[in-house]
Amino acid sequence: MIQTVTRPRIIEQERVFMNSKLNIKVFSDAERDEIEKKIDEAFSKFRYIVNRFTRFEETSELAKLNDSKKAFEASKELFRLVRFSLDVAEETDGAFDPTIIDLIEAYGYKKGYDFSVLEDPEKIRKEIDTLVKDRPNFRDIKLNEKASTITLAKNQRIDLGGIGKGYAMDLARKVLLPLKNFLINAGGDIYAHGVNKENKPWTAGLLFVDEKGKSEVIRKMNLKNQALASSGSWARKVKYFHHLLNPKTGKPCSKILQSFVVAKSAILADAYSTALFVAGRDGIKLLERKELEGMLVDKEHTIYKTKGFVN
Amino acid sequence: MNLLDKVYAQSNLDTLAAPTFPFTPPFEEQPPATTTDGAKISLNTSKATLKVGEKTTVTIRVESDDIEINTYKIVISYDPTKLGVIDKDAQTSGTQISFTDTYFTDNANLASEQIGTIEIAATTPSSAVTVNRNVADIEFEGRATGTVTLEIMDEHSSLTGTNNTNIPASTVPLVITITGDTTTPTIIPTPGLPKSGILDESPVLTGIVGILLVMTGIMLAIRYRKVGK
Repeated sequence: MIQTVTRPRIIEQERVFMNSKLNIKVFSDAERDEIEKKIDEAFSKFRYIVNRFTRFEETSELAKLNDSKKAFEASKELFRLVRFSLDVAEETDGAFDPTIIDLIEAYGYKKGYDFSVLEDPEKIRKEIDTLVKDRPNFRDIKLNEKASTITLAKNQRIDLGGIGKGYAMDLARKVLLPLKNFLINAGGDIYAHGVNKENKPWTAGLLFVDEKGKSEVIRKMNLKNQALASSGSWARKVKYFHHLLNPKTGKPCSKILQSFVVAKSAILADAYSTALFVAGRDGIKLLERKELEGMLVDKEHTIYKTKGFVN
Repeated sequence: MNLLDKVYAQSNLDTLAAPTFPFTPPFEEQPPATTTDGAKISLNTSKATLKVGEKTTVTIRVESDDIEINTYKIVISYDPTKLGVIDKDAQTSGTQISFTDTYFTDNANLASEQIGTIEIAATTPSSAVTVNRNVADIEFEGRATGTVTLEIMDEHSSLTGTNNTNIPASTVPLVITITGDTTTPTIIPTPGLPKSGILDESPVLTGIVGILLVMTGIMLAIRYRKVGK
């Protein structure tokens, strides 16, 4: 007679989505079908977030908000995400800024990736200088919680790209919680819950990518119901452009090579790894104020970290 | 603090944190590649005990983990005196099982009832990919009581990656028990004829009465013929 397998097992699935590998590992004694169903549902959250909150599809709610000329009645979910983005922007004094689409697009970083504009750096510099001078501030956005409305300033748009992945990971985490032990890796941003198959905390390696694109693991750390996010300038740089801009100057940040942030939720880790990268060494104090842990590697390969971050 | 004195080997890590891009286009989604803990070929069924004459389906599952493979070849041994394989392709000579892997092309599919082996082999029509799915179904019929171990023959089975690399895979056999209760056609009871009493109790008497009736008939016929003349 067939023996029913009841021992805990690792089930891992991987999908490529949004140009990133999404990987989910589950260590559970639940039935295989049940685990696979949960994993499918968790993956579906990433598609859901893109459909709902991408600024590139005219039909998405975010695109409609960006098109709006007056107070936009937003869903509770969009309202919460925008408010979260603006809270982080405020707390980081604009190091994290969800309204810099115009600056990013000026470098050709938009749908279709037209980086031919980078051939003429002088032209871009002038355009960026003009934009920075005239553009509205994230503080110009008006939120009305009671009416759930968002009012953008003239020529202002919001991008949730800086938190979308983290938010999707948090939604996926909620789906997987009944399985107790799991690991979500969204292209390098991680959330780990419970233990691995050795009944030990999940272990993550911190991959540092240098100026030449060479990568190596510079730390390893245990994650206990925590998220770990990283932002880096050299990983996918195009000429002199990378997407981590200083919102105040409109130019790519050049002093920092990589940042890592650990937080209880992926959305926090996602937002603050960007903020830490942009804020640089000042960002370490900022993290400590928020009781988050993080680490920076600057272009001299010097490491700065919060007190509680792994040595 | 210098970076270089803090380099760790990547072993013993569950995952890697790396710099990521925000959620941006292009929005390309590729087919899922499912992986599990270690390459494995297994046999599974939901009905491992059956009676003689009953049928059960056994599924062959290939899990290459995260290793991309070009081909797989699986040979299963069984006891043909206790289990028979139901042919799933009447158009082809020999006995075939159901090949259910829609991604690979089968290049062998044959059950040998003489020696008790089933062989399937398949190749990807494109480049090497991970395979983590059910690839074939075998329908067996119980022939005689006993226990049969369906075993994947390691020496004849293989997963092959790029450059003909052999991928080591664990195998999971399956035990099927055929019980002695032979299944027989269901007999629907028909209502019995009402008993006639004497006739049912005395078959000899029934014969005598019959003969007398026949003789009486003959005599009456002769008599009528005489009267008629």
